[in-house]
Amino acid sequence: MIRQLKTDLQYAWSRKILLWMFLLFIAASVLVFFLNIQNVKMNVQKYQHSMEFSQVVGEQIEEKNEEGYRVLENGIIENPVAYYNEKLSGSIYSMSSQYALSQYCESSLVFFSILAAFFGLTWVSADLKHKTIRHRVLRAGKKNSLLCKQISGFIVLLSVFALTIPFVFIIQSVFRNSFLQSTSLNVNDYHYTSTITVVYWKQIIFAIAILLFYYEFGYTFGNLLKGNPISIVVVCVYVLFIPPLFAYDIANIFNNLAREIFEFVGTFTLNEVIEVSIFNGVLELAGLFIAMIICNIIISNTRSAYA
Amino acid sequence: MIELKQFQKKYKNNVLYSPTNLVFPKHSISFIMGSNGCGKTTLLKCIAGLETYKGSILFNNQPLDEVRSQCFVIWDDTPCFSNLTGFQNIKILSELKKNSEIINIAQKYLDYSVLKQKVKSYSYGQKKKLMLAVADLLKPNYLIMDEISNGLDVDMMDELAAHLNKMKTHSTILLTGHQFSFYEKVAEHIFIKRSDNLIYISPDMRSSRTLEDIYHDQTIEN
Repeated sequence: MIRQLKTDLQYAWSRKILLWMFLLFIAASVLVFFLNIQNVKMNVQKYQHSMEFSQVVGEQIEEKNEEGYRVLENGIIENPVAYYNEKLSGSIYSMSSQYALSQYCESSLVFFSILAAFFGLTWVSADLKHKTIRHRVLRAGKKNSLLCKQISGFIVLLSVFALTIPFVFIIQSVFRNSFLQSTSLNVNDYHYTSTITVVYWKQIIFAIAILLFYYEFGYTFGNLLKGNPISIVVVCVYVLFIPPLFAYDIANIFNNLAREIFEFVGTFTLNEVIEVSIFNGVLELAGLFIAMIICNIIISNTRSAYA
Repeated sequence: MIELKQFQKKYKNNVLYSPTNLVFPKHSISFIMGSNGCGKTTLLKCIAGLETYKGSILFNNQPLDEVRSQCFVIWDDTPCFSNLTGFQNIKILSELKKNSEIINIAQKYLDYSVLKQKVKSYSYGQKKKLMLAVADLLKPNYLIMDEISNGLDVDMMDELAAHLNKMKTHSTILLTGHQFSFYEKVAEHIFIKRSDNLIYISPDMRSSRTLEDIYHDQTIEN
């Protein structure tokens, strides 16, 4: 089994899969931090507009900032000065190096799911497309062949995730410095107070959970449909365009978990989250994950490996 | 040796192999012949554990699960990673043999310049040679080759014949194919697929006849 694992990793290396996945993750990070800076600029503008309006009507900015704000049901903001001050403080905080890892892990809700599903599909398709599954199954047996393929895929994905993390800090630093050089804003005047206790290892575990879940999804549907890329389309549409449909919708469960772990003051915000028991939600995700693995076992046992 | 015990294979209602008891002797070269589509490759798929079947197939009285690392099959369509170079393919398919060993052995079959090219640019015969290089590196105790002579040039076929005769001292070799002139030189035990049976052609039945004669006689009888 170790031999088969090493062979799979050698394939990933030879095919430059590690490199391509690394570049995709880096590209996603660049996009995330670019959007983050745009978010900061937008909040700067909105805050400045709200201040200008306050000054025109003769209000004191310091007093307005201390008053607090309310967002009414129809979307109207009472005391926009305080509201946009807090928004701006949050987005300035999101530019800091303390938030780089959090921002990266937050993006897992959008980008990681697509990238992981894509990787899962490509990973399982290689042996089907080239018919090398015959060699695998002969030399390793169906059970070990499947196990090694799954594990080696996990290893590649987790390696890419881990390798990208140091670069995330560099990318964020580049964008931050670029912004600071182009603005007269004194960022030290804005202070953000965290609404949750940030625990980095929980954020990393969350991101890994998203990676593994959607990797297994892409792998399973790629295996079932023999490499048909429809699973990627499904994931893209589901993640990018479809809001949570019901309480135990996969996206809603992840959103519930994310709400406990992330601050969402950067590029991403959580929209509607339907309350659901965290325990039940995790149980459902685990159940679905196991169901996908079982599906792969059944396919492996029943389908001819001659391809 | 490879032994079939009450081996049966059918697809839905089509019986490909009725219960068969047969031995492919060890340290020898067995050749299976039959018409196109008669089930030779299906038998190899079953032996390789890629297809389900009834009965049992034993390798020196051991099931396949215990001897997998000792087996290798060269399929007619030579599955390999077309988006990798010959060298990279050998590295992966030989399960990470040392580079020096790979270069040393692979160059007996393909030029180094060819090994550096992606397999998608290879001809049919070059892919066959690539697989032979992998087999040479793995040195399996059970070597199965499906229509290996297809696509090989005359020089390579002569080399292959010599190589197979060397390999049989430590391997059980099973071949299928249609180029009788080649298999005549190497096959020690002949089997013919006739209807839903796999028949052993004993030395008496073979006597001084050519494989072509045997094939025609057996298929006419059918």
